[in-house]
Amino acid sequence: MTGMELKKMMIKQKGWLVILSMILLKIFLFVSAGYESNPVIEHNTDGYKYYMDLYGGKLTGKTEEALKSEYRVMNSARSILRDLQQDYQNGNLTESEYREKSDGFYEKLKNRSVFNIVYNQYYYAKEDPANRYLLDVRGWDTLLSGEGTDIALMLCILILSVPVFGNEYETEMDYLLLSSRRGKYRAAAVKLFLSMFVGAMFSCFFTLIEYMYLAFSVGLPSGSFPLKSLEYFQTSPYTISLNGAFILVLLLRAGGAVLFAEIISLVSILSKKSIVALFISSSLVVFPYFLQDSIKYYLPLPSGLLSGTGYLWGTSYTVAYNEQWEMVKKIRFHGINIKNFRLIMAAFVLEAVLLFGYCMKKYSRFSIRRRFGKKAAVSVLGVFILCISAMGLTGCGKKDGGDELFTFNVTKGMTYGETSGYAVSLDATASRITAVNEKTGEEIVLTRNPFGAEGRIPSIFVRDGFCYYLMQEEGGFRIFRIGMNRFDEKLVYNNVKENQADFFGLLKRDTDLDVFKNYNVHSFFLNGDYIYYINYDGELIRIDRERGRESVVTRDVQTGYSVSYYNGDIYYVDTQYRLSRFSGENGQVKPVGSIYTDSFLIRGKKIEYKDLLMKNQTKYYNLEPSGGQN
Amino acid sequence: MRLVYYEIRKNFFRKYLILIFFTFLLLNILTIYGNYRLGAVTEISTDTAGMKAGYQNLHNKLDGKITVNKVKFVIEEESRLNALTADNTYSRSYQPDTYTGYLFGDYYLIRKYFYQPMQYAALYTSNMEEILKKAEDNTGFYEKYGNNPQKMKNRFILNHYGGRKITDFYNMRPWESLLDYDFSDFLILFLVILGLVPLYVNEKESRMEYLIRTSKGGRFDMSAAKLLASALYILFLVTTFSMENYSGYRTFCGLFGGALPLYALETYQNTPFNCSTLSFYLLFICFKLLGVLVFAFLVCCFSRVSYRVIYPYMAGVLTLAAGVYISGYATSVESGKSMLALFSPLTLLKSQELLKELHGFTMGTIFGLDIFLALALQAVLLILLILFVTEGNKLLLLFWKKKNSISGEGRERQ
Repeated sequence: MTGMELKKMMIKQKGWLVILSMILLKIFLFVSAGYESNPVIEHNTDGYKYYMDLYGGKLTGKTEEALKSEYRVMNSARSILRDLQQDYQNGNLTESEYREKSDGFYEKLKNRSVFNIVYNQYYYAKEDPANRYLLDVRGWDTLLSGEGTDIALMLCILILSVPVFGNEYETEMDYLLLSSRRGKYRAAAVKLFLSMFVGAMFSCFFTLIEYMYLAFSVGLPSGSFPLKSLEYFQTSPYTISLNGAFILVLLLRAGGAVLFAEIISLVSILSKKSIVALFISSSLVVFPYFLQDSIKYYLPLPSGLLSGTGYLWGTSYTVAYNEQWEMVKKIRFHGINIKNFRLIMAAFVLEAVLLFGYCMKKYSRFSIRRRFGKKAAVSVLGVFILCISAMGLTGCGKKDGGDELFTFNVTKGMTYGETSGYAVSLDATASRITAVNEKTGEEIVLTRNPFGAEGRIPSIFVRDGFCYYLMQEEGGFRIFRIGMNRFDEKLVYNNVKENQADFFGLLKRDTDLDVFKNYNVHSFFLNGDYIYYINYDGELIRIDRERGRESVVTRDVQTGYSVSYYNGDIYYVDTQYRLSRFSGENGQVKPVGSIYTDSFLIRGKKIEYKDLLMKNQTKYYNLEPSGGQN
Repeated sequence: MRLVYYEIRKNFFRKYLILIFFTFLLLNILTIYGNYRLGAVTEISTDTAGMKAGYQNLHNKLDGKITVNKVKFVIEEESRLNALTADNTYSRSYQPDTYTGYLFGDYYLIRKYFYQPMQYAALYTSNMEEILKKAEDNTGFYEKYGNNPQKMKNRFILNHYGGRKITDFYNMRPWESLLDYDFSDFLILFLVILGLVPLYVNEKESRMEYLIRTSKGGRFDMSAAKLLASALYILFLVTTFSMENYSGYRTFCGLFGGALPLYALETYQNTPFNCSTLSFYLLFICFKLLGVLVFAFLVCCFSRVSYRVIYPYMAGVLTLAAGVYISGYATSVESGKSMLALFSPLTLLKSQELLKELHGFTMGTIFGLDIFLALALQAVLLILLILFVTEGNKLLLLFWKKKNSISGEGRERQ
């Protein structure tokens, strides 16, 4: 009989097609949402992993000391390098001594931004070293910190479970079934078990999809570390491991799916109409997501269980002010303590058993009153009242930009450039770009939006009849292009998250976190294939214009010092004051000769630089293949 | 007309539908009340009793026409309290002769709820004049350099943003919140799916369709009658929920200043519309009605081609999710994405987003607002859907005849 029911569900009602499309939808939604992270880690994942390999795990006196000394070194690295360079310049150090002494600091400076994140994690861990370990939190945060609605899973369970009973009623098969030998109780039990089993199986499968994707993309390391290692769980009452938490969530969700399948069956049996069953079941599961705080975890509905994670969070707070205008803590989420959790779970089990019995009773039209002659008939309302009271007990295109062959000196070019007979300059403090006609002397303002600019303009890039400008906004930046002929404006690149859909309040976005996702752009330039930008963390980042993908080229740029683009290559001053070159052809970064400088300029085919070793004398480096200094 | 009445009675006078409709009405009003109590409309509702009393007193005193005396009073109070609280040495104990009971409370109250909004209203005209000056400058500039789209855009600003003035002072936050409130849309869309999914499927499931097709008027009139009945159902849903929203906000939060222009709402300061806030709300309901109607007819189409309730339901929910997601791009700076959003009927449910700032397009020598493009696109979509549902009948009938004649032949041979 089970085989027959399964065949009906999967083959006749095209269940396999629904499952396949829902799995695809799930993968698409989960992959497109991405994982929790921030640009600093994303720009230097190797650095983050390196520190996690080094300091990850339980905080010991040794690691604490190492972290502190690294912090001191990070803070003083820049001035030490400056001093070393001065000594070298004054002849107190030989080149090999300078190299030997400065190399370590130079390497360290490359990772300073990501180290700050690790250091913040250390600060969190040191408050309770026994329960808070250091680890790469990105994957686990994504897996355990959200409580989003899994629309694919809900639709999957809904569409598979509704016809199990609904179809029999709509085709009036129920009369036939009820009159047959096994059709009364056994068929109902098989149908119910099948819905519950399929629901539980797919809920586990969908959660495993999340796990697998994260394990392969960002990694889910150190699963044996305590749950409280994640800041989100700092007040959690559980002292279990991350793996333990994941298994618990998996089980909770499976339980939620079982309950959901039962509710769908009950509504189908009571209403005898698929549309009503579809509608009421989806309403019952979706509406609790609109509720604030932890209310949905107490409701006798499957939504709390399907989220699962909220049962593990502790109480979380937000800042508020009292009458005296003093800052006070205000509870944002009331955590569920272990005792309440057990009571809730017991109530859910009771609810599941009662729902099962009630479904059986209603389907088989079994009357307790008739059979036993007692006034013990339990109505639907009765079941729900019982469950609710049980819960109550528990408490609460072809790109422009042309070819690659041109020279661009960033330091000067980020605020000034000439093209098409105009001298274009940027007033970065007022975010105002002006162009002066070189023939007539007429001054034209290029930022002409009558309603005012939406963001800050830190840098421009002028070339080939266009003035490009970068508009820094919250959560990203946009690059626009103004044609110097007709002064028309076009968007060239945008990485600000554009979609405003919150699904009528179902998707709750933590906008506070966007503040940390700042890009801090210092300057930018572009050619036909790539956009390059330098940020205040000393990173030079390349964006593929076709795919929009970012990659960090190097992270040893002295931000604010000279940087130049020359025919596809980028020259810059690194943190050891060496002139370095990024080759656009093979993607490698190498120092140019043994030039030490803090300021240079490319003129024609030569680099004009200030030689730090020769008392700041101006010298030249030939950029032609032969190279050479003079 | 009788057919329409029968369709309405058959499809919408169902017990469960009526029960859910009233449950949703209750849920909607509770949500509005909840939002009000949680401070999502005006933060003052979560504040202390003293703050609330002070707030009410000052509003009673200052609401209405903005006069020199009122402006002077607010400025003087703000600077007096600012001076008192600036050095952090003010008394933190209860003060009987204050608005809220506490000095800092007074300062916060005046500054946040009176000084800043009044400043916005009083300075609006001069700020707008500056914008107009820039737009005028731009028009000449772009004309000189032959940049037609920009010229048209700036000319539009010149023509539509001139002569603006905010004459009265009221708390306009409830209006902003009412225009942004979209939970009722969610309920309406749910009711649309619930009501319209069985529209055709029911007849197929009960094999009534054969009977209907053989009757005199059944071949062509039924779809028209069904669509008309659905349209009336949508009209009823949208107006009922909109009226409930309006009266809910009016009762709980107070909707004053409906006659003030739309730009009196701070988030709409650069709106291209000059109409009054109340008339904008009515217009907004009309936009919403068109959006829901297109979505509803789409659900009708799903019901039309399906033999089982479950598929149009699933298609309806997925279309709803996809439509909401796409409409999230309505105000995107990327023209491709914002254009795509205009194709989603659900963009019309969030049409206020398109009107908070100037969102437009240029075609030849015309500068038009995105909202009008969205309306035109949705109107075309609506006509196509009506054609599909009504005329599609003929196609389906042809198909049905052919199929029947084949099976008929088969039977004869047996």
